[in-house]
Amino acid sequence: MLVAIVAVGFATINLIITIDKIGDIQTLTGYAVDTAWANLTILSNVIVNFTTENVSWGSGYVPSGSPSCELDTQGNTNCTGFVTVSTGLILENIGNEDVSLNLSSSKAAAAFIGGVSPAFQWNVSEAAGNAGACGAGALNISSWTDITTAHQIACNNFTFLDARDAFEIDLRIVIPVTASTDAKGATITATATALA
Amino acid sequence: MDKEKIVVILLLITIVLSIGSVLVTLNLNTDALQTPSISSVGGKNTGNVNLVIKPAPETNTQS
Repeated sequence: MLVAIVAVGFATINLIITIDKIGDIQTLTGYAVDTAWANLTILSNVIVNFTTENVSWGSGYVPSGSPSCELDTQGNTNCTGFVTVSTGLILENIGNEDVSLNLSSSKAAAAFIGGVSPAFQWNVSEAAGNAGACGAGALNISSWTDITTAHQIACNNFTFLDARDAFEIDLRIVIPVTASTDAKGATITATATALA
Repeated sequence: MDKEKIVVILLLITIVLSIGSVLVTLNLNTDALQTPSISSVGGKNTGNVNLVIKPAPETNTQS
């Protein structure tokens, strides 16, 4: 009788432990007798990325006798010596959220180029093959606009959908003959904010 | 063999099997599975604009 009681006791303990452990396995692997749950939370990811991050015109000068010359990233130049640039900065929304896009620069024309009446401008358009990148909204910098160190809103609804997620930021500069002769550099910053 | 003896033997076997089952079950590895860390790659949100302005070459004039 005692042996029988011990046997029943061990069997009961085994049953309890087995049920507990199998419960752990179900939690970790989704092994299911009849139902299984897999839960996850996709986090919001707001990221924009310059896929073309450098515009470099190389070196050159204002032609003799001219008060100024200009360069842009649309292949136009009447300066001498500079590299002809036909593509602007390309910015892509590589996150998973539509965003509001602001642009700013480390320098405006006076600090970037200098001299008398310089110009430093941008013009934002949907990159080739990305029609609809500004969603249902309109681009706010759709013509040559003076660049500022303050934020300028470029688009209220920059989408993340493939083939609708890239802008081209064209740049134009006017170099007066009075500008100092040295290396010039500026940084354009794109700031993305998730839509509410 | 007495029926009682048979019962006892069977019960002893049951005990042994139960102990074995307990040992097997306790040795199940139910540690949390290792999941690869998921890291998002940050975007580069700055672009650079550069040029070098040189002085125009001097032109020689002869009088």
